[in-house]
Amino acid sequence: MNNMPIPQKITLCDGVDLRVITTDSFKTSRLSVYFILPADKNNAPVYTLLRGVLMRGCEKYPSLERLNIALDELYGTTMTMRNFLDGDRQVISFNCEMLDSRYAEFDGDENIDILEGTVDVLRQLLLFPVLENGTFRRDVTEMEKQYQCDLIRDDISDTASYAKEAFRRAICRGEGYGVSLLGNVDYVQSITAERLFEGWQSLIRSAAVEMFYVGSESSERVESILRSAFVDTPIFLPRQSKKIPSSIHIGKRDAGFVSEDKPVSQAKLIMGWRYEGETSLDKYCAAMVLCELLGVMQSSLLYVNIRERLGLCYHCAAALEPSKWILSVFCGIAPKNRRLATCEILRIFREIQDGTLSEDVLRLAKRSLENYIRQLPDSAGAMEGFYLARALEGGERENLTPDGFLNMINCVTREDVIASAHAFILDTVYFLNATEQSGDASAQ
Amino acid sequence: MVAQRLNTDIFGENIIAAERWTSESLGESCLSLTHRSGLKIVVSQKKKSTVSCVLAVKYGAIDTDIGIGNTPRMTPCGVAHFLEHQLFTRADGGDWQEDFSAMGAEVNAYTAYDRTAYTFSCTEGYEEALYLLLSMVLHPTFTKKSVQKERGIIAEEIKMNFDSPWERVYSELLRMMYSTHPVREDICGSLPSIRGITPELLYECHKRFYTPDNAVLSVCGDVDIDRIISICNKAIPQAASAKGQPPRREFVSDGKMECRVSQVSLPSQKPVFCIGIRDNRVDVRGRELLKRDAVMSVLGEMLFSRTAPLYNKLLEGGLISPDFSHSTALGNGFCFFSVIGEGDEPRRVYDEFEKYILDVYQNGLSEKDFLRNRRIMYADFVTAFDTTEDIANTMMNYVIDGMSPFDFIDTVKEMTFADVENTFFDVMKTDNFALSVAMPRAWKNQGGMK
Repeated sequence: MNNMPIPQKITLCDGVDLRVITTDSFKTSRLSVYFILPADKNNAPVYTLLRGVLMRGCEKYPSLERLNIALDELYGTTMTMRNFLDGDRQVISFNCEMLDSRYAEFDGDENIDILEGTVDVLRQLLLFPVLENGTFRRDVTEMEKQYQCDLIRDDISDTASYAKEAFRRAICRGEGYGVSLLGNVDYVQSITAERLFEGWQSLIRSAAVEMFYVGSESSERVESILRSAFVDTPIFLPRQSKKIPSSIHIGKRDAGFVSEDKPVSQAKLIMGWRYEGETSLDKYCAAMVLCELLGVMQSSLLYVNIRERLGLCYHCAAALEPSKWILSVFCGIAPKNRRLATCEILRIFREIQDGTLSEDVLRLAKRSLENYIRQLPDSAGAMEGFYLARALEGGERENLTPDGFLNMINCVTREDVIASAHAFILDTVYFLNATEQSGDASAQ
Repeated sequence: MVAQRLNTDIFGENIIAAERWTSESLGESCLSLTHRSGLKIVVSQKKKSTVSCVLAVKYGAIDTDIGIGNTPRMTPCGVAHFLEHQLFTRADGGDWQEDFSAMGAEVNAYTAYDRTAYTFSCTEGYEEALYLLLSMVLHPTFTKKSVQKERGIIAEEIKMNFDSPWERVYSELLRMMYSTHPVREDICGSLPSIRGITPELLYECHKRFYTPDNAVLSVCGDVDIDRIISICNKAIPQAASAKGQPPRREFVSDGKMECRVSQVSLPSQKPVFCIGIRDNRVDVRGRELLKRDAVMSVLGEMLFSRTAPLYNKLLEGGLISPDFSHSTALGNGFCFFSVIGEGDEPRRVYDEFEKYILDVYQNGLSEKDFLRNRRIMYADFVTAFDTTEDIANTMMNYVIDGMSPFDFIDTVKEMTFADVENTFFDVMKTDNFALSVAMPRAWKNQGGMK
């Protein structure tokens, strides 16, 4: 693949890296800033709260309305703040998507510089929040705390997300990946504006930072805009640049079963396997192929058997958490089908381990992954996602290019996949039992 | 937008009309062809790794009356969606997805109110996948067994949606706003309605709507036009030349809203509300519909987006959570705004909403807001030309309504502040408002909705 752009990495200061992909393939561009910290049960809810408070406005744009108008003036630039776990790391990101200035000509605005304008809004938002007596505004803090507590209490509006969160906390109990980003109600209520202020200081001063730009501007120009915006600010203070590791092996323990009842129509079943094998790059690729054929590719073994052959569900898929090497299977089913679905998923997994895996299925999985990699240059978001994952993982995976990844995937053999399946040990089964009878079983 | 008529000779005898559409400001152009079968083909050639194709038919969830002339013939709700699922079943009971996978193509499909679309993306071998897509969609097999199996899968899809209070308030809102129009029913249908779907009915609906002259094929990527035409020639039988299908049922009016407030009780933790504003002017078609769509969208942004005073007042007053959004929907016989959010006091939110609209009535809309939002609409449209998948979908969405995708830019540029003001005064009347609320069941003893 000779059209696959490789980002240019620029270290702005210790612990703050910028990766630029210059391409004129798109009519939009993306600028993202990722703050990366160790996931910690006490700090995680504070950073979650901080995200909401920062978005409420800053000195230059003191209300949400003013902030949104400023972004709208830039041809509707969108700025999304995300808060997620990547292995044992918490990541708080600011993702900006904007129209490329080449197309900003609607009302004779040829001179508008959308990137520069967007970086300025980001700078204001990150560094100049509205403060009151040297800390965050108490009314805004209280309002966001209330919202966060409402989210904690709401365990039913989105049962798929709730189940995935409950599963994650169960399979990684005691680990960074098992912390709750929202926290519990009592803890959130106890967070003061001062504690939040400390969290903000620590975020901008000491979290590792990865910045990404994908668009038509040169790396020199992007670097220059960012340097002008952040020079002499805490964002450019040198900080710990060592990658935050994620624990993978947990040793032998019995598989656990967690079940909860909820008054909903559809039950959710999630099964999770922990990895106990060697963790080299080629083993990682084998695990990727295993996950792909099990439940990612279109005609995966789960899709063909659980959905199409048995008609047990609408959605059934597998996922691999790349930093923790946790393999999971998720499906939404009628409660009465729990045992049948569980047995069938275990049977499929056992058959892979026993070597009944066909070369045909293996070929389809590799082809599906190849298709994903070959499509990367056609999506700015997908390219950023690919290289962000590399940057977060670090180690030998950091410098893995799409070409290199593709070559390694193509080298995965049937035996590698079988060995990978053997290294995954069933650890946790989570079941959200649906007790509501609003569904009409006779439809089936 | 420039439309240039082309000599069809260069495309072979099966192409009966050809045009090249170009937008200089966007730096985009595409080729529009009409196949002898009536199939509209639109192609955007791009040097990208991914090829994306969409094959769409003008048949969606609201096409429940398949009668011809004045004689109605009603089908159960959810047939279009059921058909979309069933078309993936091979005659041997297998799944066509496996065949697409073997080619390295990722296939998908969706059903909307007035269309059903089948898509695939791949990085190589698009010819084989395109032939398969056309064959799969045009030549189906339905059996009792396959229909029974699919019913179970769709039942789980319905239940999945049923558990979401956000989906529920939206569904209830449509039921309230439209007493007879089929837009009031869920796209997937209901558990009872899908029980009435049989292989015979699926064949009948397929025969009626899945004809080349009722479909659009949209392709974007590094493709060869002659190859695409030749694949269409091969996949579409000679007999399927354009025969002018009976027109789909056109809806003009739904009468007055009988009820303006609805409340359901759910096991959720927080009240969720959806405010609807019905536009009764639903007789617009073609280019006028495009303009109406653009005007309604800009008006919706001006009134209900995150830059609008309503959102900020409600949020700062603690009446809503940040999860608040709005949308505009319009099509054959329906047109409405919806505003959805969550907050402890939905009735107070609604009162604030009414006050806000009254305030705009008295003080007028802001022209500055109009210009800013019109510009954003332009930017959003440009953004839709970033990926092959978006381009193929955008082209299909305009061509299926008999327009060029670039018509929209001219429409946005021509739109005036007066257009938006007139629509505001035309639509934003209390009689057109409706409120749908999902209250937590646990709040039952706390005095009901506030």
